[in-house]
Amino acid sequence: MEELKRVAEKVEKGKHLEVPEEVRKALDKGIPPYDILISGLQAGLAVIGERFKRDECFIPEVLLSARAMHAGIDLLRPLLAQAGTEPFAKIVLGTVKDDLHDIGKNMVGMMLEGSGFRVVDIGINVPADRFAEVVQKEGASILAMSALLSTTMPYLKTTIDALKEKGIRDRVKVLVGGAPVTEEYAMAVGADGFAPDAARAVDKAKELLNIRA
Amino acid sequence: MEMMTSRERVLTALDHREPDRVPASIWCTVDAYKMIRKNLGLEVKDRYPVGSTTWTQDVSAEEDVVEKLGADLIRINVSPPGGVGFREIEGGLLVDEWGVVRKRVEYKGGSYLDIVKYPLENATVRDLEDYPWPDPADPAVTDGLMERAQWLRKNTPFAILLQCGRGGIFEQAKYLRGYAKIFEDFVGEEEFIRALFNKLLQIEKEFNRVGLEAAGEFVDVVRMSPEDLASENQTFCSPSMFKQIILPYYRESFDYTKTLFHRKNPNGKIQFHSCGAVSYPFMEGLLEAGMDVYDACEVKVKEESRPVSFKQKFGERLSFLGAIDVQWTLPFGKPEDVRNEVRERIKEMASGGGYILSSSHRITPDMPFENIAAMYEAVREFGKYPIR
Repeated sequence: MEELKRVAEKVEKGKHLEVPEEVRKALDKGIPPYDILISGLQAGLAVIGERFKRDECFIPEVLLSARAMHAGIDLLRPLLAQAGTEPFAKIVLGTVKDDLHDIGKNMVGMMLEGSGFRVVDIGINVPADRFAEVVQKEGASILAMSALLSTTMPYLKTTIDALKEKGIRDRVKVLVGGAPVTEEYAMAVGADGFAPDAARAVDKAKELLNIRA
Repeated sequence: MEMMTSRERVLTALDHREPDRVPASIWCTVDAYKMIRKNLGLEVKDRYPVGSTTWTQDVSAEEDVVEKLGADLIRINVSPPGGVGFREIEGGLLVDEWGVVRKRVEYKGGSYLDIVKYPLENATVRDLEDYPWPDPADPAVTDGLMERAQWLRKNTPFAILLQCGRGGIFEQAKYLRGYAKIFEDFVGEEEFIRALFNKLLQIEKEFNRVGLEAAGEFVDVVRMSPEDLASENQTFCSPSMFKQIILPYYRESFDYTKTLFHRKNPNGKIQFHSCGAVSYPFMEGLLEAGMDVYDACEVKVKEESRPVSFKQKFGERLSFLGAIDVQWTLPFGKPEDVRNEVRERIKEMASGGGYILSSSHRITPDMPFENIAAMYEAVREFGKYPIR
């Protein structure tokens, strides 16, 4: 459909001021909000995500597209809630204790949200107990944690231990990432998955929950 | 081969010839420096002069440490304007000479400083004129620098690396403007970016001018302000954006600094730092702009960007400093792992000279001293030319 294609194109090009107008046009045509989200906004961001994975675009382009997508989601959110459309699953996201870095985490959050997940971002410098508490309260399917320093990496394990102590480790998949974190390290601390960047965090989250989309 | 002095070793390597053995260098935070001094049985002071960049809390290791570790290159740096790097404000927050507000975060054995306020986050071009920029002409900046450099040249065998710039261009722009914001500026606010980069370029040049005028004749390498251009996976922007928006400022900075430097020392080298997975087009641009030495050669990055890959591609024109992994081997490995990595890295990097061994970033206090000692022992053991 022409309208959806234009929404996707505006997201792809990072035109955050023009996206709401295209979304409105699509709504006026009677296209359901859910379709606009999936086949318009998310389709546009997916193109950028793929290019990012292939080193054909870079952080500035991803940030701009994510911002553009959010401009569209803001408009659709109340309509989606009205229609009772459920997101894929809930993901609690944060940077571990003593670590104040957030650009990578925010990119992961935007890409996950843009891919149909409900993201509960609890910020930076998050103590292990707080992660466990929010995972339990929100009934999250995935806990996604970031550690950007070799000195804060050990908190990934501390947090996983806190989930175990609370008796909720088997109810949630743990996805980890961050500059010094590797696949081997992730497995060694007992995580379920590792992703080296935001685009692959989306792939991994879907894989962990057996979502084919 | 006859044994060389440390300086001969470094200069030979930087001249792309093989010295008697691979030279070594040290780069550390002040907390790590105290730990190293203690372990070497040397006196430990409460405070040390502010290092090359205020917020990183690094320190230029003194000659007794360089000698005991068996390193060959010693670092010196200019001081921040006013001589004091940070002033403390309400809530224990710290403000550096650029006005960036930071919070101290403790970890095992030390602390680092993370940004809590980007002072130019919402600034316009006009705001840049009134901003309280650091003043390179402040007399504290070069206080004692000439005497220190001259003394080191006369009384120690070491090659000398001087860093004058205290923030840089793209790097300092990130800290002033905010990481996410600066990347958005790249696409939407080019006028602002250019105004900010231009301001920072003038300051970088001026720091280099005062530093070189004071000490240039005693110095072998000038390290430009560090400029991180990449994450672990890819560069922060596309090669074309780099060439259009960032590189012209580096070119002018390198040109200006090199011209001044060569008046004092015609054989002086320009060293440039970036972390992360810098790619071939970026390296080509930096080389063409005048980079002679590249540090700190991060190891755990994608294949194209690993030290060995750069050595193969650019080794005839470019020297390297660093490349011993600070992400896993030095903090978490055993001394045996460090030895193995040093041996492997020397095989990859040292043929034909052009390599100074060092950690792939600052040494931090969570790294066991045994691992640090093992790194310098291993370079003596495996670093003798010809490399086998």
